This record gives sequence, structure tokens and C-alpha cells, in this order.
Amino acid sequence: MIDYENAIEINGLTKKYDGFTLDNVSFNVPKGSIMGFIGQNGAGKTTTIKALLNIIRQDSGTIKIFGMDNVEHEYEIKENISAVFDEISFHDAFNAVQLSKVLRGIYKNWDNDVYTNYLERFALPSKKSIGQFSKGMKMKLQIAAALSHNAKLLIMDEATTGLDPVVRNEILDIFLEYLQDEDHSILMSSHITSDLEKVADSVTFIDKGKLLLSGYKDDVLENHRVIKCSKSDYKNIDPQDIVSARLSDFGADVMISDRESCERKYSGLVFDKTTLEEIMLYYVNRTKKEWN
Amino acid sequence: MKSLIYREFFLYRKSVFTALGVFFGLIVMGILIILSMQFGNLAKATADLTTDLGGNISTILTYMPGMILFAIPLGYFEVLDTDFSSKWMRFQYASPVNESRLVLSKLSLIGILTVCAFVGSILNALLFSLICDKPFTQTTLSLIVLMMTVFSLITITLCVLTCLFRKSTPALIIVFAAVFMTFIALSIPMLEKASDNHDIQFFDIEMMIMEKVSGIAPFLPFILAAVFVLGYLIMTALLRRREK
Repeated sequence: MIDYENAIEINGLTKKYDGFTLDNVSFNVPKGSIMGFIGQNGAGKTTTIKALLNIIRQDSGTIKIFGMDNVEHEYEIKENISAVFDEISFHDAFNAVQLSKVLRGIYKNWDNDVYTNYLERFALPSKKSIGQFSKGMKMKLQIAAALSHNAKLLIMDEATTGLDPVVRNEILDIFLEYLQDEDHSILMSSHITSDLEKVADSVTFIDKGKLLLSGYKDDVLENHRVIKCSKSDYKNIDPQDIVSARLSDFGADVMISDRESCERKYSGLVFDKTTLEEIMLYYVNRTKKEWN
Repeated sequence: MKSLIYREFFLYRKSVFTALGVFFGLIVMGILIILSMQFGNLAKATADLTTDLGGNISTILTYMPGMILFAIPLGYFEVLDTDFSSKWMRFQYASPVNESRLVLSKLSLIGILTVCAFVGSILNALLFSLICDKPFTQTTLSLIVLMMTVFSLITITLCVLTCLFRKSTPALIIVFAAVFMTFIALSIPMLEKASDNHDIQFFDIEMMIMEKVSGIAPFLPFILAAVFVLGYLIMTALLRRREK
């Protein structure tokens, strides 16, 4: 495998459907990091992931994984990646042991010891059929399988959605452990931003098929602020500086994306720290500019 | 590849074991009927009835259990249907398994089941030839190969159409309509013959059809191979087709 800086490089990815266009999306996932891929349902996250995995044909743009074209080197790449989806892809009739017999023939680097360790760690019964597993157990099984063939890139598509906080935390801990190896990277698509806030190094926001912003999580959180002010103060803020504003009877909450410049310009106002969830919310409403 | 074939077999094992149960049940039943014809109640029947019954029974017992065996791969399209509906295909597309390997694993299982059915049918025909004191002829072998080819053709067509539609219902409708119409078309001349001769039995008609077609027996192994190769090529191409 060639030396690479970014586990994933997406440039100008475009895919047109009837009524939806993934429009010129570009972002990188640096090697050794977790990227949170954030957007509401139908924003284009799954379409991007399907294009990454060559499950759908892209209309234009390039995708490189480990520095290699994702179509030209498809199977070489797929030997080194794991995809975990929101729903389990394994047949209900199998149990965990039978599943390993199938998976070890699919992945050259399948490590049964690692798999067995994960089963024990997740307290997953090895002889019980998958059909009898709870949603959390199914997700843990998918993750155990995904981490047992020495994959260098983990792609998670809404994998933690619908899980209780205890299971989600457990899974997030596993991801952080997985990242101890600096060759490992994770692209984690989710609309549960609190999870990404905990573990992500960088974030990419997407909405209605368009990329809104992409960068290191700390930078994104640092650059964005919510100004809580009266309606008259709000009127004095340059619209160019505003992502969008939530108006209420008591005043306005205004999201800005350039903290340094705004703090200089509006020194009398209060700048509150924000969260990824708030950023998503304000960006989703950016076309309306003002919302309640 | 072995692990993928294991997966296919695992998912299809219940149908295989059920059909094997029916196969062995038929053999046991056949042996009991023959024993009854020689030493039991049927031995007391009139000579005419025994001759008629004996002729039909020996034909049925020579071919029917074999048909059950050849019908085993026929239901395999259900596994393919489940693959599409259970998101397994999505997992496969995200894994390093290419479409050729995927199709090969599926056709390998169908091939293995077909070869086992062939061996089982031959052994069954030999057994009843011996018990009924009838010779195991070239025609018997040709008819078994013909059954194998026809059942394989239907099985592979069902699989190809399931891949095309990504579900089995339309595939089933198309294939069984085609099989039914072909059967009717082939049966018409035989039914006309049967209307002239009232002593003819239904199973004889089928045998007549098969005997007529057995003229093409020398080509059957090639047709069978072509069915598998074509099935492989078409299914690979269909699975290579990505989502729109």
C-alpha cells in the first residue's frame, strides 16, 4: 500500500437523483483521526458513504481511499476497510461462531482471536442466533466483526442511532481504543452530535446535498459563537456575519462563524460557546436567516 | 470461497434436509409397496391389476425420488431473495468479495447439490431396477440427465431473474408461467394420443414426453454446462450493476 496522508480524500463528488443532488462535495479524513459526518436525515451522508464504497456510481468527482482511487483499487481498499451500517447485514439464522466461519473466508486478515475477545468483552453469546439479539447486541456484533480483520478505516453510517447511552458510550470507548494505532481512521456519520462531540477530531457538515463546513472540531467550535442579544442589538449585526438567528419574544440568539472578527466588531455583546448540535441547527436554517 | 459456500449451504440446509427426508421416505414407501405386491395384500390382487400397477410403480420409483433430489436446488432462489432483503448484498458490496466470487459461491452450491442429486438418482434407479428386476438402460440414464438439465435450467433462470428484479416474486411468476406453458405445449400431442387410448396412465404421458426429448440426450451435458456458464455470466453482470 502506498504512503498516504489522508485516509479519505473526496473531491467534487456529485451524484444526481430525481429530487436530490449531492453537489460538489469535497473533504478529507486525515489518517489517524475520527471525522464526524454530520447532517440531518436525507442530507446526503449515506449517499456519500455509498459512493465511497462504490455501491453507487458517482456522476463526477474523485474519491481516494488510502491514496488510491476507490473504483480502480476497489477490492484492495475493501480488504482494509470496515463498514458498519444502521441495520445489521448478517442473516438472523447465524450465531456469532457460524458468522466468523463466513467472515474469515471474506477477509484475508481475519483474526479469530480478536473477534472472540470482542465477543467476550461485549458479553455477546456465541451460540445464540443473531435473530434473538437485541438492537444493541446486533450493533456490538457488527462492530466486533468490523474490528476483527485489521481494517485501517472504519466507516460508520448512523451506527449508533437508536442505541441507549450506555451502549453508545461503550462503543465510543472502543473507537478511541481503535484509534490508538495511528494508522487507523474513522468516518462516523451521525445526527447524534453529542457522540461526535466526545470523540471526533474533525467534523464535516452536510445539508441538502451541499457541504456546509469541514474542519477540525475544536476550530469549528472555537470559531462559532452564539450571541444572545436584544432585537435592537441584533439589527446592528452585519448580515454577512450571521449564519442564522433564532428570534423569540425575549430577544435573539445569533450564530456567527468568525468569532475573532465579531468579538472585535461587537465588543459590547455576550458571546456564548456553542455545540455541534446548535451549529447544525443554525446552519440548517441558514436560508431562512431568521427562525423561531 | 469455501466459507461463502458454507454460508449458502447453512442458509439452505433446512430445505435440503426436508427434501432428503421426502426422498428416503419415498424409497421406503416404494420398498414397502413392492414387498406388499410380492407378499402382502397387493399380492392377492388380480394378475391384470398387479401387472399394470407393477409397471407404473417401477417407473415411478425409478424416477420420482430422483426428481425430488433434482428439485432441491430449485428453491435456492429464496436465499438470494433473502440476501437482497436482509441487506447482505450491501455488506457484500462493502467487502472485498467481487461479484464473480459471489456468483461462483452461489452456483457452486447449486452445482454440488445437482451433482449429489444426479448420484442419488442413479443409485435410486439402480436400486429399483434391481428390486423390480428391470434393466438399467441407456434410456434410464438419458432421462435422469434430462431431468437434471431441465431442473438446472429452471433453477438458474430463477436465480438470474431474482438478481434482475432483486426479489423473487416476479421471477417465480415468469418461470412457472413459462414452465407451465411449455409443459402444456409438449403435452398436447401426448394427450391426443391418450384420448385414442384410454388405458394410458398420466405418468406414461410424462414418460413419453421425456422419451421423445431424450433424442437430444448426447447434447444434454453440453446444454447443462452452457446453462451454468451463461447463468454465471449473466448473474455476475447483473450484480455488477450498482444502485442508481
